[in-house]
Amino acid sequence: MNSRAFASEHHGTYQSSVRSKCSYLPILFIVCVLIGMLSGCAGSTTSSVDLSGHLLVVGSTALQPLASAAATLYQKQHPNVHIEVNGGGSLAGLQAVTSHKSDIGNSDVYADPAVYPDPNLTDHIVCVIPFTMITGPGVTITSLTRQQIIDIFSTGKIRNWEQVGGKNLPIVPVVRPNSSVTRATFRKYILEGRDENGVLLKTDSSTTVRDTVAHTPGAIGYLALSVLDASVHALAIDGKQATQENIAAGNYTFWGYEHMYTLGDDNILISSFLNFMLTPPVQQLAQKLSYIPVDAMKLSQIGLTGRGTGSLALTSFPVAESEGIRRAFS
Amino acid sequence: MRSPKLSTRPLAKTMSAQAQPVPATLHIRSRARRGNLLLDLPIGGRLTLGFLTAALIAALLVGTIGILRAQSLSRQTSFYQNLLHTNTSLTTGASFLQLMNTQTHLALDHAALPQPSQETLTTDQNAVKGLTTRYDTILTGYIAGDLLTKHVDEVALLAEADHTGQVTQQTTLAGSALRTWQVYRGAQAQILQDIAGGNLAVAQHLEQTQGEPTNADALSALRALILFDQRLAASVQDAASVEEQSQLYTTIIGSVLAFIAIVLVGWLISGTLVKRLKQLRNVTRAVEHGQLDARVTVVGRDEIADVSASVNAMLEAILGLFQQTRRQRDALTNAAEHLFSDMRVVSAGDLSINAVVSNDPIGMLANAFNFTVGRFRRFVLRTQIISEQLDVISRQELERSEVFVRALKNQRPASREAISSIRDGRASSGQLETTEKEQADLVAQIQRAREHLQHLTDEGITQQVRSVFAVAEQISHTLRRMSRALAVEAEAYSRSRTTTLETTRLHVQEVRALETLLPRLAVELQRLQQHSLQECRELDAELSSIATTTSALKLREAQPLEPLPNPSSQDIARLGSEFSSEIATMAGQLAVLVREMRTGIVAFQVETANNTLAEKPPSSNMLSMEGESALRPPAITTRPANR
Repeated sequence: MNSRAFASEHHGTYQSSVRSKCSYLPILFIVCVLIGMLSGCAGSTTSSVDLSGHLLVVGSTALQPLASAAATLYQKQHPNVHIEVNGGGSLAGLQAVTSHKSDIGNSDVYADPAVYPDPNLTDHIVCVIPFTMITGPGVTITSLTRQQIIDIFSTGKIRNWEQVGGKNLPIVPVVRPNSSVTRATFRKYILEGRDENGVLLKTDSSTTVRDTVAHTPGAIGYLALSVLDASVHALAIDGKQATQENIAAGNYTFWGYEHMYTLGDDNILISSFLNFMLTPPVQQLAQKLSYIPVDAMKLSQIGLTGRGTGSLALTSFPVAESEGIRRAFS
Repeated sequence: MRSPKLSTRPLAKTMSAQAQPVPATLHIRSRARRGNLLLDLPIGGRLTLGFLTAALIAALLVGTIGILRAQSLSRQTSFYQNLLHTNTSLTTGASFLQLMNTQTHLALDHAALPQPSQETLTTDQNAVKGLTTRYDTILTGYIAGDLLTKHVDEVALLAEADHTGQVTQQTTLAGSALRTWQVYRGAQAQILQDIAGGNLAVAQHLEQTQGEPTNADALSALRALILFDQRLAASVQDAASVEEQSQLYTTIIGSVLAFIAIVLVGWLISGTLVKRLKQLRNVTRAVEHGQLDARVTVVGRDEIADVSASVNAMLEAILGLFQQTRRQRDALTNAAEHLFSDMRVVSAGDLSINAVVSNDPIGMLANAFNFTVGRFRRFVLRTQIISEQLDVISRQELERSEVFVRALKNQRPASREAISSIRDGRASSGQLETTEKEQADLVAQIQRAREHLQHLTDEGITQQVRSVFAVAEQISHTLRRMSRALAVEAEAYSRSRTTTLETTRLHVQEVRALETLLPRLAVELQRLQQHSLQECRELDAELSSIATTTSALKLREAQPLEPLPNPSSQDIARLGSEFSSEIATMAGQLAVLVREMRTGIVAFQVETANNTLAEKPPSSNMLSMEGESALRPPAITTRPANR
């Protein structure tokens, strides 16, 4: 009897210990699950480490307004980052970035691999800048064909606005200095490499061009759309204005990419800022500042832009080949 | 310990008083319905199911993780392969561009020679055109097929590493490469045209102002594209690491969930076993502590349910046995009491009692008692009848003898007259005197016989009956003791089953005592019979002597009466002869009665002897079994004793 009582008592304690163990288990599980979930959350939230540092952006005056605005926006989001944006021209920007003087070099043109052979020089296209032809006072013409522009600026066949249907007024072409990348773009995409003849300006500044054209009767020049104002008249090329639609559709060829060159892609701050340049807020800002966002550019239409110039070359190509190329683009 | 879950179920067979509220039981059953599917499975199957489920969960987890890993690996691999392929082709394209530039310069140089070979110029032109076609194919092929926008899974992979912007970047870079290439191609075509047209100076100038810069632009744009592809590889690595991390978390969470699921399955399965076993143990413990009405709630159809049901059935059976024993005990006690009161009545003198006969041991005893009492009653009745008959006869004889004596007294004066008148017949007178004396002797003898008869009817018989009563009382006493012992036994049986053997032994002892009493009864009866036999013999002897005396008297009277033609003596002679003949017939009647009595007594003796003999084997059997067959009354007692 005694032993039996002892046994039952012993059994009772055993049972209670089992029950307590049972009640612990679910709590243990819940804790495990919570830990797992927390660690999972932590893994996804580690990316938002606060950035800090100093960035120097040097280069293109055409891109400077956008770069400055983007820098301001970026510094609002990251208070510990200081970005300094300077002008100086595309070539100065490329020089500065290749000589490690600046972190980012803004440029309107491509870096020639022969001039800048550094293999780490990385191109970042941030937006498209449209250019437009402008005319001074007394010019009633609203549109010129590309050949007419070539004849005015290069061959000299057209010297009076009368020849293109305007008033009897001598044409004064305003030519930018050699260092101007806008001039290089103009030569490449409008003049197809031909030399310019006209009033050569001393300084390469869009505002100088604008003011000169505005004060010279019968003058014709070209500038970035961002510096266009009411003092000059914008001139269409082949009947197409420099609008986003026309450029994106490939009907207007006088435009260029805006590049931000860096040396390598290792710096987190630089790549963060460059990625920021492509984010919707900055791209919308670019649109507001008369740039064209890169998203708006359609690859298949880019292929068509060269049709005007390419058609000259394709005359010597077999027709089947050009058809194949065209099909490939579409 | 006495958990409220112990539900008591109504027992259909036994006591309706213990019927418990049925709805409670039904409620428990209905509540336990949900787990029934699982509970219907046998334990082995349930355990197998549990193990299989656990294995399935583990296999699913491992399989899912493996598939995820394989998918991500294959995606990465295909991405890397694509990148390698495009890198190779774009690098080839870059060298083509450089070659084009060189070849154009070569063509210009060849054309600038004083005597330009037309064949060489054509070869140069064809080489440039071939290179142009090749590069154009590479670039258009790249744009048509290798861009990220054309590969949804690659875009998804980049999205995981948060590099979605690279898709747009690539498109933009490809656009720039295409644009620069188109410009360069236009310039190149112009240059070749000029060379072919002989405008060498123009061609050279164009090459310098347009061809080389645009070539540089195209090369730069292409290089940017190549560099971008290289950066893409780093992004893929990022994405892979992100994916690996997420896979790690998936693995951890998945293992934890699988562990929980497996433990839950185990808990569920073991819960169906342990809880019910505990319940069963609670019930058995409650029964152990005396709660005989505790029952297990039977849920499901597995082995535990079987065991629970059989435990319930066992408890029912035990309870039924218990009730049966109690009822038997009560019945035995009742019967014993009845028998005892019957015996008391019999011992008080009422032989008309007939005890109630049943199939139990007490019933057997009652049967035997009835038989004995019946026997005795019949014997007493017969003896009574005989004594009454004897009484009547003796009274008749007494009257007759008184009549005869009176007649003789009347005859005496007459004979004296005759003697005095007939003096000559002395001898005859003497003869008369002797006759008279003999007659007186006869009367005395008759009186003695009557006394004997009275003696026989009165004292001896009553004495014998009293002694038989004493024996019967002893038997009844023994029976009472036995009944009491049976009652005690029944109670003891209810208390503990172990003492049954002992009480059975006690029973046997009682029966043995009864057995010893029965011979004593027989001896008493024998003595009674012997006594009456002796009396009868005496009576017989007396009567025979009376008979001889009477016949002798008759003969003697017949001789002297013939010579004496006296009317009175003739009367005497007639009366005497009548009397003697009556005496003779009476003696004969008596003899018949006595014989009857003797035969009755003898039969009684034989039957009692048979009784004692027949009752022995059952008493020895008492030890071995208590069944009804062993206690069946001996065959002889059932035989009607009508002899």
